[in-house]
Amino acid sequence: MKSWIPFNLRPARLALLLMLFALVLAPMAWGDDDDDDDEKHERKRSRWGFLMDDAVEPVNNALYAKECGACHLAFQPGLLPARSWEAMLNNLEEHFGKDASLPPASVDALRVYLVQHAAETSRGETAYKILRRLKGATPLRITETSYFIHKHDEISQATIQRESIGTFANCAACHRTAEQGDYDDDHVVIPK
Amino acid sequence: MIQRAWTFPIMLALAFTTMGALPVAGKGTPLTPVAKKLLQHYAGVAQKEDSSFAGFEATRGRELYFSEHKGKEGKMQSCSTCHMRDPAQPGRSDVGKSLLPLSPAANAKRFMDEEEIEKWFHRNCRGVLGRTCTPREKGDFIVFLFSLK
Repeated sequence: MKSWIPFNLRPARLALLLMLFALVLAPMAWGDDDDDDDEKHERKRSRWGFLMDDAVEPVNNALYAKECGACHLAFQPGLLPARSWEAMLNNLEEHFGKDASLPPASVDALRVYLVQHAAETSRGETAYKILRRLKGATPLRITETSYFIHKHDEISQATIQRESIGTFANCAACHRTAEQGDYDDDHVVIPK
Repeated sequence: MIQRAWTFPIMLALAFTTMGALPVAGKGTPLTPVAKKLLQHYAGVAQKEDSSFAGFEATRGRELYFSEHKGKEGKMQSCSTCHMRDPAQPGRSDVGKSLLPLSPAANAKRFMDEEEIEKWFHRNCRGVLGRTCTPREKGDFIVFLFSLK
């Protein structure tokens, strides 16, 4: 009887081929469509063809949004590696010249959230690029990362010192979609 | 006659303790239950620390609010740096984040949560003054803020 399998493929070879397809081709073809209904998330392919988010995953933790978003934008955890968040949480008493201390229970809860959503875990292109250029460093400021410096090298000190901006840490002054984790150049409006 | 002799100092002491609070309660914003509770607590501790303590004063609280201190980065700073000269206005953190007004007259959510209040006193006293605040300072500060319309 003539086999339905073309090219005289034996079951073992077919299984191999299917596995190869599952491993390599399927992610390229469909990616991971858990939030494809969110149209704001443009998707790009990295150089290997895997789907990536442009944006960093937005903050989705109420404690983090409240405690860390009180004085500054609640920076998305994907903007720094886990080791940076750990270092920061270990010294909230000396938080860039301010005291940002919190009860130990809050610090522990924040640690879980930040480590689980740090740059290493992010599919975002921005997070990926920040991480790749760190080369093992443990920055405490996002503005110290080599990728950040590279992306902002055309912004003069005079621009930053404008009343409407003040500091590089004021992401949302120019990145109108910073809160959504979208730092794409297309959404940048530098205020006067 | 003997009774009269000691009612006078008591009345005087009562007048003194209410003098600090009365004008405030009269014209400002009514104290929240949490603020009331904290003031009682701070007054108790302040009395223990200093027997000459005679109640909180809005004027001292105002002085504290506007007093300038050298920050870690060398810049002069006060409570009013972020919470504005008029605390009824929205504030602005030094990294540009907008803050809800500190004045309870402008923002009914202020002084409703004891933990929040102590958290911010602890952080901001250390951040601005470089040390924690005394119960008397905290009481003066609260009385000052509630004296505002």
